[in-house]
Amino acid sequence: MKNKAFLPLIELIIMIGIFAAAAAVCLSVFIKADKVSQNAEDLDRAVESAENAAEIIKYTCGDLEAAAELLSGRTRSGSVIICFDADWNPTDAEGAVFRIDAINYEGEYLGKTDVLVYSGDSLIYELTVGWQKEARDGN
Amino acid sequence: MKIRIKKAETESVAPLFLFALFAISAVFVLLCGAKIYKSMLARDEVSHERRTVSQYIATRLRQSDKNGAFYIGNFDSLEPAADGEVLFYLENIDGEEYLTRIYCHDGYLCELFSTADGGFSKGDGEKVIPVSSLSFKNENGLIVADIGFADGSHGTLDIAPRSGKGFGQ
Repeated sequence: MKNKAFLPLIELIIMIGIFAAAAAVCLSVFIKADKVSQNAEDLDRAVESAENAAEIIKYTCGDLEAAAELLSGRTRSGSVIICFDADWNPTDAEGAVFRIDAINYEGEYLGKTDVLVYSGDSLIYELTVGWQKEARDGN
Repeated sequence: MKIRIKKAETESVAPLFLFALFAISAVFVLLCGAKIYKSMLARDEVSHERRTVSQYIATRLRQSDKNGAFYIGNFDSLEPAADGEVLFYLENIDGEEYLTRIYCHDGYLCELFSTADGGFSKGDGEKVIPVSSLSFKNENGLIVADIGFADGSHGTLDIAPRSGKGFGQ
């Protein structure tokens, strides 16, 4: 009789245990989904910023000093560095969460710049912009 | 007898307590999931709007990038200016001049295609996507669009016309 009285209690405990396991799995999936959504947003902003940087570099025909001024960045040995905070506002290197490195490659007729976007130390997006030097110089 | 009744009461409280704990946990998990899903949707919607507005303006410019075809001004003025709230695209179709205006009106990015001498108002444009503000600047040939998005954030779009330095000239 005593054992039978404890049976519903044990059933309930087992049921709660199974629910707890399922809830833990669900919560971890929700958190992962939130992280994926955050990464997608960061990638969107990275693409937007990289395209803006590429347009300005093409406009200045690889003049890094002029490009750095327009992009609120700084130059360093053949590249332009622009730092952003968590909300993608230009900031100093100290508070930087994201960073764009625009690295110049000089050719005879074709100028080329690789625009690389970093989140911390990991590369999240890159694109290459080129311009015809001969025609521009001819103008 | 009294001891038996008390013991019975105690034995019935424990399952009730566990059931209440189960119910609270279930509601907590549901609320967490709903909150995370809501924030994900909001974030994705904002990203979609930012991407669409920027790409729409950039694509319209690049589709029609001809020397002197685009200029910036104000809706009623039609005269080129260094900055303004409207991006104009002038084209000649069968000998007649047509204007495409891209501007912000009533919380939307709007596009109006009309004859160059047509007396249209801002409300006649086609609503494309929600934005809160839109302005353009011509910085020595570089077009800078300052966009206020529907969620209150701001962004800029820089475009270097491929047609050369003769923008609006």
